[in-house]
Amino acid sequence: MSEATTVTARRALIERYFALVGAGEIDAVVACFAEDGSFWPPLAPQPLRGHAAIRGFFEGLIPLFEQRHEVTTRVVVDGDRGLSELTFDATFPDGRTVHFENCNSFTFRGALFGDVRVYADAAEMRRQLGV
Amino acid sequence: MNRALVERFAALHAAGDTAGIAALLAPGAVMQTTLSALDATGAREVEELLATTLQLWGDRHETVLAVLADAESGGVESTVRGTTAAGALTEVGVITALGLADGQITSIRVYCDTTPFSA
Repeated sequence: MSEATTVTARRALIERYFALVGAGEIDAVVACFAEDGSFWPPLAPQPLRGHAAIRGFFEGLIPLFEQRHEVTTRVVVDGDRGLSELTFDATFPDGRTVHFENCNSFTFRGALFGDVRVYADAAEMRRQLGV
Repeated sequence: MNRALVERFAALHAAGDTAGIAALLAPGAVMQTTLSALDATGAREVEELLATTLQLWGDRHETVLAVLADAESGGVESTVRGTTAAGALTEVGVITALGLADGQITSIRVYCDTTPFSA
């Protein structure tokens, strides 16, 4: 596979991943990661490792909100690394809303994510979430 | 060309050289950061905002982990260690997304956790 083809495929994986998160397709979200891949969300003290842990995170996150809307504002892929800027707006069942802006760092392993880390202001997230 | 520009930015940022970064900016460049409620527009304001955020640590040491660049954008992932004004030794992950055009930086967006700087 040429370098250009790899970059295109990896950009597509990032865009597909966020579309799947938005759609709540947890099986497909988890399948974007290598079997032993890791995911480090902003409020977690350390990365979650492996499909079971990543699945557990999204199974907890997705039902929290009545509505969610994620918009990817920038995607960069360079070799085996990538980043994407994202805005996240969501509404709780009680009507409260949150707005987060974050940047995801991706390390690719072949055609999948080896590691994903979400950089965000955890202090601001805790403030909006009331936790 | 963009990779060299982003690598230059990363090196200057790690060194705290805000004047050097200002020289890489396009006219009207903008900056936003989770470290400040203020946004900046134009080289002078961006340089001032960079200086303000870099001074949050008394003895700042930045380690660049990754540099990315494509035709329109770039990014720098790093770890910053240092002592806050409150005297706490902290280590935070920082990612900076860059907009690029014509060999210049058009936008800087810095994402990091502000918990170490919260009262």
